[in-house]
Formats: sequence, C-alpha cells, structure tokens
Amino acid sequence: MAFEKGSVRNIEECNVLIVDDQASSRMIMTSLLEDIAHIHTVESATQAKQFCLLNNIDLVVSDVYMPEMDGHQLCRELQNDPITHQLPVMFVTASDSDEEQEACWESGCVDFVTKPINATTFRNRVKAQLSHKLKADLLETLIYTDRLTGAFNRHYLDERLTNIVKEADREGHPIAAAMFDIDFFKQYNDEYGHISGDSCLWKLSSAVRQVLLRPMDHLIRVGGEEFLVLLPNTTEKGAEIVCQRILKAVRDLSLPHIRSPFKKVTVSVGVSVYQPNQQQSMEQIMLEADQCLYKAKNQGRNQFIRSGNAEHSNLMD
Amino acid sequence: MNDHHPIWDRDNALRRLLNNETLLNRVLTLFFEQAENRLGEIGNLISQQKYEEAKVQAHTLKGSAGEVGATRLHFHLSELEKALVNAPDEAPSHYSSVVSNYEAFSSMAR
Repeated sequence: MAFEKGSVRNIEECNVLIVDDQASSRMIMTSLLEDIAHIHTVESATQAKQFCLLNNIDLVVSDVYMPEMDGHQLCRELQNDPITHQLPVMFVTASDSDEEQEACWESGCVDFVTKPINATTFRNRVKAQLSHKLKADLLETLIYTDRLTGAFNRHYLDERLTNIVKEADREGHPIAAAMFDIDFFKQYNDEYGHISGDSCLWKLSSAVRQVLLRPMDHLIRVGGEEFLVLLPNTTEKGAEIVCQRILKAVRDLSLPHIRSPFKKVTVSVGVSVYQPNQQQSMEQIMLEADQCLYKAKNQGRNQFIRSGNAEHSNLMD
Repeated sequence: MNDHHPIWDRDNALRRLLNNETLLNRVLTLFFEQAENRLGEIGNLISQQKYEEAKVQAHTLKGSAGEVGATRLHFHLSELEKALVNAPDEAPSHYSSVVSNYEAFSSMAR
C-alpha cells in the first residue's frame, strides 16, 4: 500500500558525473552519454568530491591523470566518506599497461575503459553500471523500508546506527534522537478499525518525512505506532525546532479522532541529544528519549519533552 | 621508425564518435587550440630535465591525439612518455619525432 511512488527509477533518471581536466574529453564523453542519462561535468577531482557530496550521483566516470588529485585518489576518498562510499567509479585512462590496470582495480573502481574511447563499448559499459546501481538501490530500499509506512525499518537502524555514531564522533557533531508515538492509538484502532489505523500510520509518516528537510535526517518505524527520528549534526535547539514541526505537521493533518481529548490524531515526542565522544552511548540517548516520551504522555500528550529540560512545548489547538 | 601508423585515421576517429562529424570538428578545434602550447611546454620541461612533469603533459597530449585520430602522433607521444620514465636521455630525440608528426598532422587536419 504504502510503498513510495517514484522509488523505482530508470536509467534515464540517473546522474552521471564526468571528471576530466581536458575539455575535449569532457565534450566527447558528454556527447556519447547525453541520451542515456543526466550528465554533469567537472574539471578536477576536488570539484568531483564536492559535487558528489552535494548531489545524488549514480556513477562517476573519471580520468586517471589529473593535476593536484588523480582519479585513483578520488576513488579512494569517495570510498572513505560514508555519504559516497557506495558510489561506483569508472575510469577512463589513456594507459592500458598492466601496472595501470592493477592500480585502477586496486583503488576500488568498478570498471575502466581505455582512451581513445570506443563509443559503443563506453556507452554499454556505462549502461551496465547504471543498471547494476539501480538494482542495488532497489534492493537496499526493499530491505530497509517499512512497507506500511514508507519509513525506514528497525533493520535499517540495527545496520546503520553504528556508522552514524562513528561519523558523528569523527566529525565532532551531536546527533538528536526524537522518539514519538501516536496518542490514544489503541482507541483509534478500536473506534475506526485496523485498516483506518494503517492508513493513519501512512499519512502521519508521509507528513513527518516532509518536514525532515535534510537527506541525512531519517524517520524510522521502531514499533507498531512508535517512530524514531534521527537527526545527525543537530543540537538541542535544532531538535526542538524539528519536534515543533513534527507536532504541527501531525496536527495539520486534522485526522479525526473522537476518542482523543484533542478530537484529532496527535503525537507525543521525547527527545535527547548524543554528544560526540562522551560517556553516554547512543543506546542510552535513545532510552532517555523514550523516557521523555513517557513524560510527555504523562503530562498530557500532544507535546514534546527534551531530556535535561523541564520545559515542554504544548502545541494544542 | 614504425611509421606505418597513419598520420590521420579520420575514419577511425569518426567511428569512435558514432560518426558524429560535428563532434569530431569540435574536438579538432579544441585540440589545435591547446596542442601547440602543450608541445612547447613539454619541450621546456625536457630541457629543464623535469621529466616527471613532462611525462604528465605528454600523457595528456597523447590522450587528445588519440581522440582526434592522430594515430602516428599518438604512437610517438606514447614512445616519448615511456622514454621519460625509463630513458630520459632519449627523450629529446623522441620529442623531435613528436614535433615533426604534430606538424604533419596539423597540415592534414587543420
């Protein structure tokens, strides 16, 4: 029911980044690929790294010899960054020596073609890599997505949390964790039936995902009507803003709930913030967020409570 | 030496570009815009015995020569590149071959 439309892409929608310091090579590769996918070009490995961090690129096609940073180094750096570590890199090299071939594979490329480029081979190799990437993406989406709500699932949390925390420790960034669930959801199901309950979960999940503005923010369904929002690189203040947005987004859905004192579907939120390289583990932070969620319930629901802060924000109409 | 390579294998270059004449002409224009400067630069670097830098420049020019079908120039740049790594003493004579082959290609393809 709730599998997001548009989650299955085709090759024409893919983004390919061409990295070459030679204008003629960029022109040739662009001309040869422009009917296959969306083509972007940059002139250096440094620009390529930035571009890949800021844009959703599906395949990098890179020259090897470039001034400052070469293609091999670019490939290694992309692999070492958690945002780009799965991004496939294909080399285009004017050298086909054994040493060069070894070096290409060694640096982690998925394929390479030699210059001067044979158009047919080049086009088919790129198509094959994009097709492979799309399948891998789809598989990942299927594994990590909760089919009912379109949010990430528990499996995603178990697999990725360690890396998210490692990244925060390395960068010295906090991570905010907001735990929320639907107020009086049992009564909702009793009153309206389970099919309406499922529909409510889907609408709510969609609304919350829309207020998570950054690609690194994640909505995870951790239980029946219980969700976790993970906000990397987010302070207490930022987390409070997001909590207010979540409360408002749910309230604005105006889903009728006659057995709630608010007469519509609302949520309660508990939030806690992980500080990098401190004693408190991420698991403890999530437990704290859960405890805050219970406090929010006990203090009247339809509000958020942040750990270490007695204040709460009540967004009742 | 080994000059059985054609000076300009236009058909092959065109085939590699899916017979796109306009694209080949644009690539040729770009090639001639930068080739002479790069050749001069390679000559300077060799005379200053900056072989590693000369190799990088020769490698780049070799790539461009291949793109436009300058097959013989491509071959001689490849020989120069090897000499710059393995036998820098021989680099000046390879460089002379590169220059004369560039001129031959230029008079045919311009």
